[in-house]
Amino acid sequence: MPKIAAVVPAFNEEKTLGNTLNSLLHIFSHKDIYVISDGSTDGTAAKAREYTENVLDEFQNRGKMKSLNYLIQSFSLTERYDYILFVDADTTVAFDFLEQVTPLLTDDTACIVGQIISRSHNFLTFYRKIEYFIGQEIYKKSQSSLGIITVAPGCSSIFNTRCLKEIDFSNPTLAEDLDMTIQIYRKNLGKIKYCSQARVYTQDPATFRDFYNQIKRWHCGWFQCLKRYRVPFGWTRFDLEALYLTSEGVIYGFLTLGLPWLIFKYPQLTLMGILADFSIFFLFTLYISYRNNIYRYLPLVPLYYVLKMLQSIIYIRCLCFSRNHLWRKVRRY
Amino acid sequence: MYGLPYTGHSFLAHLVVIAVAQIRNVYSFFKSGILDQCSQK
Repeated sequence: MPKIAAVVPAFNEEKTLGNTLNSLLHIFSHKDIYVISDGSTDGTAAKAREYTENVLDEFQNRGKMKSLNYLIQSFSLTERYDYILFVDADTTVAFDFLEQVTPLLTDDTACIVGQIISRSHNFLTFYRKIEYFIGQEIYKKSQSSLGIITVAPGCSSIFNTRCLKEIDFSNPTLAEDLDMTIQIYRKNLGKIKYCSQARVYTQDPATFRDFYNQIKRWHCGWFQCLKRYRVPFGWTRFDLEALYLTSEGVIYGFLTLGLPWLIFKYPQLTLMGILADFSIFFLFTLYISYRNNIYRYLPLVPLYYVLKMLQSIIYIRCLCFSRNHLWRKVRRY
Repeated sequence: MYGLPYTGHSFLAHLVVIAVAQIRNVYSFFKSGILDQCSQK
């Protein structure tokens, strides 16, 4: 059995950290759980100490990637453990998470990615449920079979410590998980696999403002990383997948921006295109409603479709201004 | 890739990849089964 540690970076997460650590205590000994409070001004560190003695309470906010590195170095985790599970402080881990990922932990594996499930709260979190399902069960699953997973999410991934030793944490971007993923490919550190049976449950934005800020951060982080690691000019399979997804997003964004003109110029063709795209989206919403036995948000499918289009416009905005984004904390509930 | 804008195009392309991977899995499952039987005989 490999030695595995759980690492939780937290910034003002007093409200949700207890649930996270409680879920971890079902599958880890308290000695193997490590928490860093990254310049928190609430009772995050005190809350963490109720569950484990391995707590670092930093006065200065360093950002997620640097604080993770500081925690790993402080406790010599890469020397003492074979694998490290990173969990966000708003995320709980399923009790069978380790049972599911352990068979996949082989020497050539750099990272195993679990499935993120959005906790039900309101109509916006339900929209995220749809996005996660499509993003993971369709895109990530197919990327996994080709060995080109584009992002190993920071809240549901377990990393080989051999590979963590090679990762540069010193110059972080807005999307630290994407940064680490691309480094794995660029440095040939091993395979990244997706395990849909290994589940974590996360809290997603419940207001439009938080939703907008999170999407903006993800998109700006995506473009920052592409620029830093010169994607797609490595011309690997990962680069081609990133190029495909990025160019599709850019085309979709510009088509959305030009929608009024398209409807005016080619009304029939445009409406048919929208209808075809909407039909696929509707079928998935229907399926996810059925899976979760939640039907009350079905009448909101047109609103969700508009949200999807707005996201593509934010994407174009981030393509043009990816430097001007600051990290903003999502409000917990 | 959450949040990245996607259309039916990449969606269907990724769906096809999953289908091909499943067919390959089933094929290799039967192939290994037949090879096992042959080696036993």
